[in-house]
Amino acid sequence: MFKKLLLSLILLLSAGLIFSQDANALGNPIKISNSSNDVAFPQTVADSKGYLHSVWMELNPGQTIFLGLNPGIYYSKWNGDTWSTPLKISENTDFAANPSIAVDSSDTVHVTWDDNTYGNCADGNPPPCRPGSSLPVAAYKTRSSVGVWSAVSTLPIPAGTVSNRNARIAINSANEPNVFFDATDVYNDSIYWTRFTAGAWTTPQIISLNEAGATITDSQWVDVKNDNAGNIHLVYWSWTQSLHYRKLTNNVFSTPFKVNDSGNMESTKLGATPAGEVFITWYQVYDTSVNVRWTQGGVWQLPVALTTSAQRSHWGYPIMGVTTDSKERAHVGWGEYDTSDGLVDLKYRSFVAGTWQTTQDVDLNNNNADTPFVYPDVWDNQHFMWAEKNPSTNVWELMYRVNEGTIQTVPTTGGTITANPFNINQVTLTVPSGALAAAAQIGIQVGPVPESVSPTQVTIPKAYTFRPDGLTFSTPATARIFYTTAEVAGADETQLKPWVWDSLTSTWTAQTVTSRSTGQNWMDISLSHFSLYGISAPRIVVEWEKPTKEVKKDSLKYSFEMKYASGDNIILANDPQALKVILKNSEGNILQTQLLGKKGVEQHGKDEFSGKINIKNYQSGNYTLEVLLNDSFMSSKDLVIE
Amino acid sequence: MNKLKMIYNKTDKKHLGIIVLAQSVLLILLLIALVQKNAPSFTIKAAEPTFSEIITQDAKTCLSLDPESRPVCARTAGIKIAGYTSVATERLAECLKFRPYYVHDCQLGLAQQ
Repeated sequence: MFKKLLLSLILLLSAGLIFSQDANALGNPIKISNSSNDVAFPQTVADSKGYLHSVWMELNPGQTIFLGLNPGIYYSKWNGDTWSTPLKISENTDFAANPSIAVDSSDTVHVTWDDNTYGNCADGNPPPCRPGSSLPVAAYKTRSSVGVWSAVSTLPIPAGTVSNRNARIAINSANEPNVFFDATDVYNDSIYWTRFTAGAWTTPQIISLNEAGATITDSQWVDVKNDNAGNIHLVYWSWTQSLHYRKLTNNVFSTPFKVNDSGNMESTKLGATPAGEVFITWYQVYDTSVNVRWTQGGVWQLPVALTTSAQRSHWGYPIMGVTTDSKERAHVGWGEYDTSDGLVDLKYRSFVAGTWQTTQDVDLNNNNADTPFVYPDVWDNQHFMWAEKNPSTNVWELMYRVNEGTIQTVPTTGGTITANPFNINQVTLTVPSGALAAAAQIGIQVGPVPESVSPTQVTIPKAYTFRPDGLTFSTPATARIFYTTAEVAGADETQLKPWVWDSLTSTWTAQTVTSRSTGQNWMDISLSHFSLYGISAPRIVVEWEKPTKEVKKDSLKYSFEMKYASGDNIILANDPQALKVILKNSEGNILQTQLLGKKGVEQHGKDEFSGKINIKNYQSGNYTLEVLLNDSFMSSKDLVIE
Repeated sequence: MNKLKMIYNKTDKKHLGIIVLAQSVLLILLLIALVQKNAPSFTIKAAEPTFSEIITQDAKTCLSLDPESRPVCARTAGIKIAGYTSVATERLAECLKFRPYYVHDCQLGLAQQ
């Protein structure tokens, strides 16, 4: 009955996140897990480059309760095209469950989960405990930006309690992991907070308070999200005192705000927009409604029931999700029982420009599904993860699907689609009139590059995927790709060109540029078919010969060798502006600029360059020489004038 | 001791092994008889499930029900657990079998007992 739930949720949520309200994800569902184990509770985060990191828990086939040794916690990374082979990251000899994941600004991944391997034994004996008598404790592990995993450690169990679990992790403005978990003395449960600072976890502190400041003692679940400013938003729920929200800013919590009055709710989720607006959703048990409350300009709005026909998931995990995007929209999804076919469908509603849109439906009639989650990335794409029961093996498998950040229906008369997350133009696709035989939904996903084109090329760290696969045009479409000056630093911008990624062979194939503007930083390419495109330009190597030490005289002499990293020589345009040498002071102000030519930057042979700059009356101090090729930064040399 | 020596000396050495074996069999039969008389628990029969195993089965049954029914059976299990053990951490370990969402209902059962 839940089979459509998951998949539909994915699609529904994704659709809501995109520009076009009736848009569905155009990417195909992909299976990530590769074992015969059952999968549950996938959690995902995108790092600063857009790569996705996912963790989930696996259970033995047929393991119906959270008890005994299970396969543990697994991890996989998406490189912009494919998912890596799942890696077991827990070292459990007992039950491990409920992972949570976050990434800091250094792209270090932080993971927590509940692990009975390291917890107290119920009979008071030291671990290992007799079967079935262990208590969980929150475990913690990190993955560096280059892929090195730390050893497993555990989080502190608060004084007066015997176990902690349901840990959620987020990163604060100081780039520190903050973990929130339920700790219990058996009869009372409260939410505690600890953060890793100065090499240790702080003493856990109770943060599940009510508006009067009294400790809530029946709170076991918390959801957390950090916003772009590094604030951490959290919501915790209690059976007797309902929902409370707090914000953590610079290690100081706001006063608890009671989000609603009902004690008959569960499955709370929270989302925070880039501007810090908060959206909180919950499932109200007695009337099976999904509700939302949110802030606008920091002011709480009245709750709205988005549906009264919601359903819970198989494991009891929230079947709803809430995400936000760079355009300050929010999207809430849930599952509903479909009496016509006995399955659960996914529904969603989007909050756009202050209004909740009508309910949208995606019904794939797929296999039984569970634990659906949706996660945003840095380009407004929405990534859906869920477990789906394979009817031929009865194994719950981990599935993934992306809903492109930009989806738009293009009629036969043609049209233009612009992908501009955070209002920055990344790519524009122009479909000429008559190119399509019928109107078609077209999606653009800006994402990370699977890998660099080659070591001798500067590969811009973005790739562009156009969907649906197999769409053909009678007249080629044109994609205008935008880039920044910083992205082409150290490269010959005039040689920038597109490449098509071959997923099967993991290789790039060069394409041609139809037009370009180095001044406005764009290039046009003609698309005969949809695929994943990257762009790169030949890397340039500059080796400074002079100055070699402190400059003592009135004249600054410089010389350097400049050529492509491939070893080929650079053929400069017959234009003095093609090559510049700039002298800057320590504040970055330009003092002098020399152009290519006599009494400027003189070329000797094919790759040797030199010049002389008058520095008479210059104050002693630190200065910098910079080489610009076609106005793109190539190299700099720090120097000291005495 | 001397008498025993005499007996063995008079016995054909070829039959010595048979005598020792017969003595051993008699001793084993005697031991079995004593054990059966004094320790009836040695009787082979199906092992009774432990209380923990009973709760494990209760949890499996409970979590196989529809989500709306799970809070009720989890609370019932909590009552049963409280009636069996007074050790708080053992109570918690049993209630944790109702993870992820129904531990609280089991805890309510503990308090209800």
